[in-house]
Amino acid sequence: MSGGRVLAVALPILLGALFVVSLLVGEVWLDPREVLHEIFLPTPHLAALIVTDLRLPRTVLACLVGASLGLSGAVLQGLTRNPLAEPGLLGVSAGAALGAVIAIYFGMTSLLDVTGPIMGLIGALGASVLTFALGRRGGVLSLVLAGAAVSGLAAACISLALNLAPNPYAAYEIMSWLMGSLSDRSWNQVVLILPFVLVGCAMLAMTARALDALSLGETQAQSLGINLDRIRLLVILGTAFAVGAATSVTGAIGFIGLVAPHMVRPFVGHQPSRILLPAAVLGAVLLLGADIAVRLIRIGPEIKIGVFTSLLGTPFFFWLVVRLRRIAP
Amino acid sequence: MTTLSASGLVVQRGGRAILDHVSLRAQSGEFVAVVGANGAGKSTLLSVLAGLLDADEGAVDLDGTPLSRHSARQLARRRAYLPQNPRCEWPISVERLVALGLMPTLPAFGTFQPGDRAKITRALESCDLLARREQSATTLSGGELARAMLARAFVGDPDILIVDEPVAGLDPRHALDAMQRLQAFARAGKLVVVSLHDLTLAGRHASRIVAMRAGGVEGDGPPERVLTPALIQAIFDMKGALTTGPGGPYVDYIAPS
Repeated sequence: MSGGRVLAVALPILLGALFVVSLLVGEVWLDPREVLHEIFLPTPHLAALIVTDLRLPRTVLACLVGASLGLSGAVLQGLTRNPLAEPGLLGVSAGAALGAVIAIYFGMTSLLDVTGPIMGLIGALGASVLTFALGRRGGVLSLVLAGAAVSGLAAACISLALNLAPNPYAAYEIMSWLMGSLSDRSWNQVVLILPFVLVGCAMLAMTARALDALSLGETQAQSLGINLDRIRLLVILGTAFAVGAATSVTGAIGFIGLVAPHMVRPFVGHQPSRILLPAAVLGAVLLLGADIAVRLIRIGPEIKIGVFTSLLGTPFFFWLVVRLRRIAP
Repeated sequence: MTTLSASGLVVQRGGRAILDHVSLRAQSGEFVAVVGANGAGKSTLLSVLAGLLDADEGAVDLDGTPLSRHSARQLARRRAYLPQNPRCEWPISVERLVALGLMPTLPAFGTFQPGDRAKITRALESCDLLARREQSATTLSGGELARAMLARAFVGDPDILIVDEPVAGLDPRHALDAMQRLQAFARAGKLVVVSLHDLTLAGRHASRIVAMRAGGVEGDGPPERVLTPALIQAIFDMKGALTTGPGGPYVDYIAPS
């Protein structure tokens, strides 16, 4: 069996299994028979309500966010041909976080909970426009530098918001939002980000062939008829829509976008275009798995999922650095 | 019959003319070697001829139509371009690397066409890479990678092949091998344009030499007419001598005393 087929079989099974587990596991453990029975009853019962109103939106959200991160990471690694590239690279995540933090800071979220995601999206799009305007000329490197500058600006503004927070509670709310979480998310938020995630992922998927050509470098890709300006625009807008929307609902979740492409790459012969779909599915699998894990780990307060993925992802980063050092010429 | 003709090309960078009114006309069957010192404008000229860089003045016509009027995809089907020291950034297989050369011929959505696998096999065969088919491109030696890139350029059967420094970093045997493959391609009725530093290789294999100095054309014509001590003095600013060795004409350089 070829590596690609292994993924084509294993990833959907894994995703399906985790999806079901995610609906049953948590504060209240549900019996699948009970859920199946109740869900078809005319009057809502507790188990069915927990599944449809709490766990299902959370699970769907984990899939959307994880897939966005995995796909965006795979596309960015292909575009920059840098194995350390990840969705935060273009300043989009930081912009989304800043937007959401502004919404929390001015108390907008306590009036209407979707203002957070809306402001986050505005922040993500603003950051992507700024990155693109700054780094349009001068190839991928200047785009990455512009992204770093925009990220730095957004991070400074977030620090300022924490610094000026009117009361400790507001600072705590901002801090805990920044750590990233999927808990207590509703269908409203899923519905709000769904169109953005779909459009963003479609834009990212359209770059597949160009990413293959880019494995020969920018000049050869251009000579093969690839319009690099168009590709850069697709990547940055696609990331802004997909990852920006995801971050604006869940807060910053690191490492999924960095790790997922690496884990699938050897299975598909390292061809950039063939990494995209499996990286998206694996991103969903990883985030869903992490979300189940934080629900199961009960040591004092809830472990935030962004913290958990960072804790697990950092050793992988170390491993990557060591391996790069070994294979570098 | 394919004709590529450039007229009055000017490229300015930082107030300096990299190309200074270069005009050139070449057609199918020619093997043009652009020679000259570092910074003479060879690479820039090749980029402009390939349609990858727009000249500030002047234009390049492909069969009478300006390059800018051809779509990027159309152009990609008709000319292949290899930059100096091409690299493969991911450990994809040699076969996949070569297949990338077919990208401009693929439909917008969809993968290989029926005859494409045979084309890839032929290109691999013509560059002696059949045995390396499944090997990762990043583990090839310099000579093998150069051949793989040539196969990548050949596979789409372009009318024009433009290669910047095809022998840079190659040992004498592989350099000779690359020149012979390019020469065979030109003899098969294609237009081949390369930039070279090695005047001996240029003199032995190319059908035409374009000698550049400071962004302008210093000499243009068949090797036996263009390669003279006066030209070597003009383009490299040092004495040169032409002799005939067992392998053909030989260009020697004499260090200034």
